[in-house]
Amino acid sequence: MTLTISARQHDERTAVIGMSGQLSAMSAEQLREAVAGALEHRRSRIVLDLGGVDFIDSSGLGAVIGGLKSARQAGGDLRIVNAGAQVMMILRLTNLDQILRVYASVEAAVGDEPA
Amino acid sequence: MPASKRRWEMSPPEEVARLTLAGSDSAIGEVQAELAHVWSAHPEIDLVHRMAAETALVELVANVVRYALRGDGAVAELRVTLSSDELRADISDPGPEFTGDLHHVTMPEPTAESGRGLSVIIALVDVFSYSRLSGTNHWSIVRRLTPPDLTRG
Repeated sequence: MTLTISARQHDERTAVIGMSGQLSAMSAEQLREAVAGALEHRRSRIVLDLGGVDFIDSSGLGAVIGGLKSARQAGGDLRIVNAGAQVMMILRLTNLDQILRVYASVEAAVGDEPA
Repeated sequence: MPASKRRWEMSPPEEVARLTLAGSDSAIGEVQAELAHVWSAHPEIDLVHRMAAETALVELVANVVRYALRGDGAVAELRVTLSSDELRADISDPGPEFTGDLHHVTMPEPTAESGRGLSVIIALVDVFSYSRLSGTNHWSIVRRLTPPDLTRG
């Protein structure tokens, strides 16, 4: 099962990366490339829209963490929106919900400035 | 809740899937396609159990593909059985012996980018076992299908 990925520039600092399909070892590289592309265009606030992702495994999770670290190193952040039940289950049991912010919508993720 | 109200009767295990897995990433897709048939044939299995069992099995298959099926033509055998109270998957592979200790696997730090596979499996199943017999690795995972607790929100 493959992953479909799209990236758009939301504003001058923010890129929205939308994905659908499965986020696993087979598709992790696509996510890494999309995050690198956003950072190259100086979009260090990355919103990862997982609305179409019905399954994530630990390799896919590793790619999300890699993206989060890259975004924070560039002075930004990576935020997740529209996480489904299986994605939320994995985030909770790996304790990643402690470092990854999950929002209900792109607008909520973009509007929430860090303190 | 009294057992008589659960309408939950024991049944003998039934084989619901059997697959030969080759050493490629497509093995995971094949396992998920097979599980999709199992879920559609058994809608009585709660979504929480399906998600947990499928995630654990995908992690296990990914590990077997990555570490055990590197040799030319090496294959693993997967068998999934279902009874009213548990879903079980057994995988045997001809790979090198696993020398880790499943009793001492810990979840990596949240910032780690790898190394979560085994701890994810342990968190999602009730039994995770490994044995080495006659040069073959045998992995088993069991998810107990306890009825959803309707007293919780």
